[in-house]
Amino acid sequence: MDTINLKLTGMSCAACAGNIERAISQVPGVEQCQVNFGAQQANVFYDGRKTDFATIQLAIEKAGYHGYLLDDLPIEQTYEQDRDQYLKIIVAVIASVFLLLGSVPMMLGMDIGPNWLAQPYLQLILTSIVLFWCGGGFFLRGWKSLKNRSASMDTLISLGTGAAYIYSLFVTFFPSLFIAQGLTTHLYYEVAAVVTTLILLGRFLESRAKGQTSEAIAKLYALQPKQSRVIRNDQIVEIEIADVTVGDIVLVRPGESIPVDGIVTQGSSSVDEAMVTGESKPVKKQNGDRVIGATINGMGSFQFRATQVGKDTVLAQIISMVQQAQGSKAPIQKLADRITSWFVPVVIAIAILTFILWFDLTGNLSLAMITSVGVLIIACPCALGLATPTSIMVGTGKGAEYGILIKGGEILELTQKVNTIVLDKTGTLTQGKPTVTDFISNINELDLLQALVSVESKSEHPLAKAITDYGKKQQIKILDAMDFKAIAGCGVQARVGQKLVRIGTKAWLKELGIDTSFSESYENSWESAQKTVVLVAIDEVVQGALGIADALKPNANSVVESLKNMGMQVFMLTGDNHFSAESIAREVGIFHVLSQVKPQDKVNQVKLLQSQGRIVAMVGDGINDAPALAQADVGIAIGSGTDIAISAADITLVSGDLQGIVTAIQLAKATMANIRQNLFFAYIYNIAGIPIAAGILFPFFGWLLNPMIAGAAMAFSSVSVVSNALRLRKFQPRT
Amino acid sequence: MVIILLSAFKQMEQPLVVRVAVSLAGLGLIALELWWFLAHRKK
Repeated sequence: MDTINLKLTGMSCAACAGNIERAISQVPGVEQCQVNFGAQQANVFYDGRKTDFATIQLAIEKAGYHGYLLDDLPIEQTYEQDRDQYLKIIVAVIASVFLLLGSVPMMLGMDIGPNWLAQPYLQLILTSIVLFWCGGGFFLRGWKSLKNRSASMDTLISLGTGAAYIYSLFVTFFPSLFIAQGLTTHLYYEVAAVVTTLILLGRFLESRAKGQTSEAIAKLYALQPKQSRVIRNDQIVEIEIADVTVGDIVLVRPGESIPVDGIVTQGSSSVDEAMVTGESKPVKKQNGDRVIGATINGMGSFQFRATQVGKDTVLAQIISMVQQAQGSKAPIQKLADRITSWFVPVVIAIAILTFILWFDLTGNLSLAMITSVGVLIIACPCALGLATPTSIMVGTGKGAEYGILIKGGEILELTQKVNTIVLDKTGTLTQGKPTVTDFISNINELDLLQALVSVESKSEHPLAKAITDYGKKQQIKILDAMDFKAIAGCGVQARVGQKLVRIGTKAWLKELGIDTSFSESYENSWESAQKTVVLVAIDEVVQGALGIADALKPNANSVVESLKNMGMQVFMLTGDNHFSAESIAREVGIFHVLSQVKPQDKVNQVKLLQSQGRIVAMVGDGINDAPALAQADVGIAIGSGTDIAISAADITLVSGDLQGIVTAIQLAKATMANIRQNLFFAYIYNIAGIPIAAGILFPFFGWLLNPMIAGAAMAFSSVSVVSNALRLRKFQPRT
Repeated sequence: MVIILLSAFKQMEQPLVVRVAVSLAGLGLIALELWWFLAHRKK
């Protein structure tokens, strides 16, 4: 299965999105297609053996729109489109002002303003310019839609303005027909022109606002430096970032952006990774540490070997994930989609019905015409279509700012419903890397530590790493260790100088006939604190002991507390025995513990919780916990800034900070609340606006809505929905 | 500007045949457009 992300142009409303979706879906070989009106984007899943991008693009063109691969939209073309749009709006505004000056005095029955402006032929010329040049796109797209048997906002606008224009044409050229009927020869040119102008203006404001909803992506793009300094043939050369290849040694000076991902080979510095991982404190980098492209170097300078370039970098993957998320749909949108697909044909029917009713009731052709035009103009499928995607775009973009990558709208919707959180212990609640917490020695402490580190530096066991890291911190010099031997499940031994050093379990040393009573007084307390006890014997005598623990993350307690305050039931999942699991859980304030769970049984535990009717979010490290993450309603992977590619979770916390769980849930709730506000506004607007335009108030108050006001209201409805979505940019997590 | 008052539109007499014709034509148009836009949908 292949996937392409397309940028779409020419869409005017949510109904257009439905039309494109239908057109693409009908291409043989296309399995699934999602068109997002807010993002002007399509995600297409297709069988590469049966179809290709060109065929899909052709189907879009035939439907009256344009599709480009996400990065291929020519910049010059967008500039030209913008300039053209400005010019058309300016001309439309000027012409509309003249038309209003000509028609308002007549409408009000007053003799104000220059009379020549009321000339029917002048009004005809001005209106024709506005309608067919400035607003020609409405008619063109409306006609294409009609031919494709699909209806969109363009259909409504072209029908509404076209009806007012044709009526006025008859009044202009055959006034006697109307006079003979006893009708006034009132012209409605200004209605057609002003409505077109207002909608053009509204759409312009809407596209400006929509542009801001995707500013998260623009910000991420802006992080990438354009140039990179690398060592080639022993010389420092400055090259385009696209020319950096894996293995290149890259130089980074103080204050510069790191161009690609890699591993530090020389020098040290602290790096601000906030823009990629959300981590607010600078991270220290030295030999062997990973650096992420687009993060900003502090005061030091260093060299690193490029390990990921181009589309493989963490930043490129984040951008791609955010783009896909922004193009996705939330289930809550399904109802809006279903309504919009019926909306335009039903509105046209209501407009015709309005015409019939008013004509039969009053016999007045003008009244019937003006009310039906009002209905066509005020109905606004765009507000309905924009309500969900704009909020999702801002919400997912905001998440990326905090280092929270959310897969899409569906996940946001599920996340706000979560009532149970399952936290994996190792690597989630704990640091995931064992560290030496206790060290006792019977001889010179530094001598013993030197022997220990010299032997363990030969081992790849996680506990060995904990010991060598501890030695590094004490700046211990490593000596040569000879005859190294690892005994699985027991320990390691080697000769350092003349001494035979054995490091391992109590049972193993006992087995070798070595007296282990030395550390007995410490062992119990270490073991009850879930520490691993390691003994060190030099030449058959135990001379020291180490307590090694996987420490809790510093904010584990406060995060669990916050989750409980949000009404969540928090569970801890671990393979540890019940006693030690309970002890850790108590330390962080968790009362529900699922202990002695083998890795392969984690899925069943999640299933069990789900069978109790809970909406479960599973938080794990994204690699070992992948099946449980997939089973949970929402899988949250704790990343480490560099492994996001392998994370198949619904939400990835790039920085590995637990606080991200709380922020993600708060953000999901804020986004869904925003979507609900938007949908409420869009539904209410249409439910109330259409009957008023149809003249429901006329029998009671004698009020009819002027179609120009209907046009303004329609334009305002879309702008207000987008503006409300933009409020989400101010989201800040509560701690 | 916001509203158009009742007085702007007079009650007018129309022959019954015209009213019936307008009604039938309108209903026919509704049926035609609904059929055109909605009847063919497969997906």
